[in-house]
Amino acid sequence: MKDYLLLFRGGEMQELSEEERNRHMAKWSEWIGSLAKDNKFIGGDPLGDESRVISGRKKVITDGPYAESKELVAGFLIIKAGDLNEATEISKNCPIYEVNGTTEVRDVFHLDL
Amino acid sequence: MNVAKPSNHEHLASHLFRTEAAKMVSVLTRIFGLSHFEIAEDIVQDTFLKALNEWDFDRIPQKPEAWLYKVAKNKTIDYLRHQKHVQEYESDINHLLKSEWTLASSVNNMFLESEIQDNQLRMIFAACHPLLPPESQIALTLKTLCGFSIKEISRALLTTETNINKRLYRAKEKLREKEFKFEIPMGDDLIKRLDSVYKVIYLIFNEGYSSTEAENVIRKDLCAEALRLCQLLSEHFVGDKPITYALLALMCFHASRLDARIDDKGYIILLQEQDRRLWNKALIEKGFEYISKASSGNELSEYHIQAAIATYYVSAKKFEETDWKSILKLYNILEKINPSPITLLNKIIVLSQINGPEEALNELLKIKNLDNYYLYYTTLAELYKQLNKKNEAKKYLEKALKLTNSKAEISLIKKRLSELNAC
Repeated sequence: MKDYLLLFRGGEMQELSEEERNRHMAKWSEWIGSLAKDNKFIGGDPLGDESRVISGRKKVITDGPYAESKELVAGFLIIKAGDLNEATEISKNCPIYEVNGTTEVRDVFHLDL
Repeated sequence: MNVAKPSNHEHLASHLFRTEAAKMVSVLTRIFGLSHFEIAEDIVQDTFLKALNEWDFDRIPQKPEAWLYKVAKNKTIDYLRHQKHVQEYESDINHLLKSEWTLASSVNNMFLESEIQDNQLRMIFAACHPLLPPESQIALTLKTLCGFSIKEISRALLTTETNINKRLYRAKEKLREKEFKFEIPMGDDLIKRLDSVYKVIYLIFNEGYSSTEAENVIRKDLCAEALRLCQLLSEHFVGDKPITYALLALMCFHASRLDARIDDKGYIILLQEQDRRLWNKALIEKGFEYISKASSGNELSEYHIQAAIATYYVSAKKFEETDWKSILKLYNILEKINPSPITLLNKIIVLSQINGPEEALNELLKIKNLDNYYLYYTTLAELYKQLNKKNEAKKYLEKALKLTNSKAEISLIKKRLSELNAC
């Protein structure tokens, strides 16, 4: 088992009505609940729009990554999976596609010295 | 404004406390687990404190219940956020409380009507767990399911507040142990656990029905709460059983006589002297409805027999018209199911109505283990009186007098003593 990071981008959740939003979030609960039941859920949260980017040796601070909203990271999850394929399969059940979002699956790299 | 009197909003808050606090504690215990029961209680208490502080004469929210639930939900979510990476809860939704993806909606879900009912059932089974000492079961049930304050529980159970605090403390300590889970038991376990729930409900009812010491209001509340808990049980599929309905019927029949049983000075009125017009007809009807539901299936419990006995009492228009023979038959069955000396005593009282005092007296003198029970001696006295043996009757009434602390019972015995002296 390895750890994988699921990075969610986009997702037009603000455009949902309260009722639609509740229904949508219930699907997240169901999905994350089923991952937890299989001991595959580690953690993760949605992210807000307050952001800053710090860069360079001079630690220059700029407001936000200036990405278009569909490219903006909307949240993340860390899960356990046997390999990238399984992690991909798991990600297919994420409800984010219903609101036009995308998922990027990345393996957590072991820095062996 | 008179400061000593609680104002309107305080009244409203304390009324809501009774009805809603218990529901909230059950819901929050589902979230935090039995071992963190005190967090649930703290959040509920904070919620009601906030209501007391913010509600005013002209500023009571339009939907006070909804207001309370919203505050409780927010306080719960705040608490969980603060403890996110610190504390683990033994709840079946623990993992959903660890992520902002699911936290708020999971807490929200637990407050849905169907979940509230389910969570209250879990609480009933936890509070009435057979591994808890019986006196703690009752105190805990009154606290967590009926929203009674420590003061009210101590008044209801005729003991001190310190004593109740101790019982509750011990019960809560025990609930932290591994064997206790906040869940509705299934399979073989369910039958055993239901049995324990029935006992607690029946004891709470009896406490209200028989305790002549406690204040009238408290007594009625106890009976009403026992009925409510049993109804709650019957509405859930695990409790939708003939025995549940038998217990409900039994309690309805007894409760129908509550008002006729005590006069306005708090004195006990015996069955033969009760004004039967004061019996609550609606409750009697309800009792018969439950009896028919209790009769499906082939289970025959102690509660079935007791309910059946009660039907004969409530059906008689006059004391003299009571169908003693049918009642005696039922006592014979009851004796086989529950051969306690008290059952036997009650059976002998019925026997005396059919075969006269002499035979009953012979049977009564054979009973052992009732030496400390005042009703044993009052019954002996009554039978001796009927046999015109005044001295024996007096002797036993005096003995009974030493064995009860209840003011109402004492005055009843004294009244009977003076009647003996007069004739």
